[in-house]
Amino acid sequence: MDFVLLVSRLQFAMTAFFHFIFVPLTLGLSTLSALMLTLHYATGKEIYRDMAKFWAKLFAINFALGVATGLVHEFEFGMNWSVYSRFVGDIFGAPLAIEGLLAFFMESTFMGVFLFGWDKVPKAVHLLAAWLSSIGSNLSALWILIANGWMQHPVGAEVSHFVAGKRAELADWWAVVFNPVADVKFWHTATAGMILSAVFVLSVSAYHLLKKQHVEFFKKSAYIALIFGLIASVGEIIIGDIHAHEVAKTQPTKLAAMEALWENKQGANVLLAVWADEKAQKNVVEIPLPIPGLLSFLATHDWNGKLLGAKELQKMFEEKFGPGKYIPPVNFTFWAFHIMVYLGFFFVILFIWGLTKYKNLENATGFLKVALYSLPLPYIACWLGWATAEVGRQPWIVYPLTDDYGKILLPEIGLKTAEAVSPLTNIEVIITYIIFLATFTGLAIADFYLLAKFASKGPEKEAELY
Amino acid sequence: MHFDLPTIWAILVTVLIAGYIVTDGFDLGVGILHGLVAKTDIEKRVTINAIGPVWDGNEVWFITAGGAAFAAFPELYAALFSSLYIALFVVLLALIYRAVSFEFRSKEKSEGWRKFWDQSIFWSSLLVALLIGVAIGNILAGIPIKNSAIEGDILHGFVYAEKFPISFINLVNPFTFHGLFGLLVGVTTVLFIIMHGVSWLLWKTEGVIAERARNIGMKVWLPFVIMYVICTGVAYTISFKIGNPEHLKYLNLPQDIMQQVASMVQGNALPHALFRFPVIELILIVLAALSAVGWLMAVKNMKGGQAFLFSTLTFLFAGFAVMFGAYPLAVPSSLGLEHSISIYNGCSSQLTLTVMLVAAIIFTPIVIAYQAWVYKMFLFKISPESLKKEIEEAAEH
Repeated sequence: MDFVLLVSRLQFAMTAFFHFIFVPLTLGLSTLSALMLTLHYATGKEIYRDMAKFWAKLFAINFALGVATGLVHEFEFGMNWSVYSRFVGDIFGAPLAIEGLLAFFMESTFMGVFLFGWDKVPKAVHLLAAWLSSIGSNLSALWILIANGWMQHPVGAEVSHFVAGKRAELADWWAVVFNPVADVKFWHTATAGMILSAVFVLSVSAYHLLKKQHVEFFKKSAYIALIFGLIASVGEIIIGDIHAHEVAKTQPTKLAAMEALWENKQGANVLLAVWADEKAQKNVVEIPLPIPGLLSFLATHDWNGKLLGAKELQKMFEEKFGPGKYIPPVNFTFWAFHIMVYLGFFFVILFIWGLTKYKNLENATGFLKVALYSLPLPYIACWLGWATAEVGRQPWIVYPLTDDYGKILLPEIGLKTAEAVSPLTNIEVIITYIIFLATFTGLAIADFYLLAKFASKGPEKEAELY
Repeated sequence: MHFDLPTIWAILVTVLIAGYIVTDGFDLGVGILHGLVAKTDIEKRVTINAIGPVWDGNEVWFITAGGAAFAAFPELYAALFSSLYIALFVVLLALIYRAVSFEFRSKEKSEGWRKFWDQSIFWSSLLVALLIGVAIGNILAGIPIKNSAIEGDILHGFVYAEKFPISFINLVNPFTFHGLFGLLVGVTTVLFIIMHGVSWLLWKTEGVIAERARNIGMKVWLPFVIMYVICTGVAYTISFKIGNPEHLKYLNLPQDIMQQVASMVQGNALPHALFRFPVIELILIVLAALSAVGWLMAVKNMKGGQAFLFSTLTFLFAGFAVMFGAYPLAVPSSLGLEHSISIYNGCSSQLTLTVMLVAAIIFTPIVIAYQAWVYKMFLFKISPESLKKEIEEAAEH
């Protein structure tokens, strides 16, 4: 692979990976702290005020790096993917601009009021600010996922010849906004943020409960997290199913890789574990779930539904687009997807387990230990979800538009990742890659250190002075 | 002027960039002044608190300007950001360090930790201000981009014609015209940013910090005015060569503008390219100078609000003078005028521009309204004394 392309891809993956350490917690924890503040103003109880303050402080430490890493993305499209940017900008740029105008301003301005406004602004304003900030965060997720959803399923567009070259142009704005792939992605991601935040709160609470300190405070926090987490994780299984169904319809090659499906199959089984020989185009190891037709049912909502295998798809794509590799890496995509799914089920069990132990939570040592060490798991699930979505889309950066049965409607809108990269030099990309990597690693370590420090300190009455 | 969607969007993107410089400009200025006006730890906390609730929202102007450029002028966004790759990278890096410095600094008591983040605040603020100026200077002088469509390549759009390291060195190489002009504009920008930071500190703080800010303000005024005059003079001499007049059609200009530009061409060049509307520009430049004088008076009398208004006006008049002058060119090419990005060959489709305009008309006033409201809420004066009192009260609580 071309060096500039390779490093640009690594850099985007790396910066996205760092960005997504901080984003899901921002999405969910902003809602959780607004919820706690609401409880305080509704009941007048001081403990909810302290809870909102404590979790909001952790939120603020986390948020700074979310912004810092997100900033890079807004500009990275133009910096490293100039051909992509000019090809899709007519459509892709709009949700990004609206994200800034509608969501980022709201999120950051009202976050300032929420974090700095304790006792300085009227209570109702303070509470409103907390909620507006949380809504702003989630709106930003909506718009960026409308942008990402369009790369997966480029609806509402046509290909035109402009004076500066060929490009995709907007034909139907509402089709872009109500792109079914984008909308289900939003719910999937926002809910993932809620699960992650619930596990985060639960895990920090477990740390303190294991040490038997601030018991009432962290028991209450854990309770809120357990309820919130259970609703979110059950919801996520339903949303995940809808999402996979959309993928099956619109991105047949991704589905084939996610399920390690080489041959066309009717009534296909779900595979629990697989090892594929990608050269020979077959699975060496295959452990199916003994429910015949389940995969067909999930993907097509018909127990006997026909799924296209990778071999057939490769042939179909070659006929349409010429020689090339059209199937994403199968082992990688399969395992990224499956581990994410397994973790999703694990979270449901974790939250139910916690709720059954809730009355005597401070003494449920076994559960608390599991909860404490579960902290990295939702992060891993989020990353794997993105890896499935983005690696599974390869070799495309804009997947050619299909109808609901996987038939390609608009082949010329498909753009390959390899064509989309900026004409940069090796030295330029390697400089930015290494320095971004070093910077983000250093800052992430500093951030984890501060998060750990303030999380383990527990609630303290301290002026927010900066 | 020709009022159509690309023109309206050129104005809107300029307003967003102006919004960024006016809002984030003062906190960049405070970042540069941080170590100069604040000596003790508590004073340093006052300067950070002076921008604490607002800098983050201010930086969103930058992101939104980037997003709006992407949506309205995708050809420009793609070409410019890949061309200024390393410079933009440094700006991003500086913005990242700045963002986390504010957040991290007071989270640890150790002196070394705080010193590190104080240094980081200073250097990152300075670099952002300098490099934004350097980039503007270079763009105005023309950067070596070519329109690949002229050669029949319909995929790559506008492409930078020089390779690293020349691409980066030329931006700041004082022995080339671009580099020199870039540096001049960069230094002028830094001086302006310092003035704007002084305005804010006078407005938001009182006591020792405000006094030190005033003294610095009185010192930077004259250098700023001199630099501004020099930059304007140099800008007047800028001309763009024309390689092939036939290819000027790739600028995609409306007929009347094309004729007007053609009437200015002398031989194979477009002289005084940045002064196509000399009268309007001269008026704007004089207004900028008058605002700078108003600023000096306000600073002398320690009137923070007035000073802020005048530094804002200084920038707006100066900025709009530049925007007027370059219209309808967005990124002139030093390889030849025909390779330039204009607002007509760099823009999105009519439909996208319309949709975005509706969104902008609805949401921009709302954003400005609530940002103004938040500013009003946090516009109480702070000082080391008030902060000490607050800490004592919190300890009693």
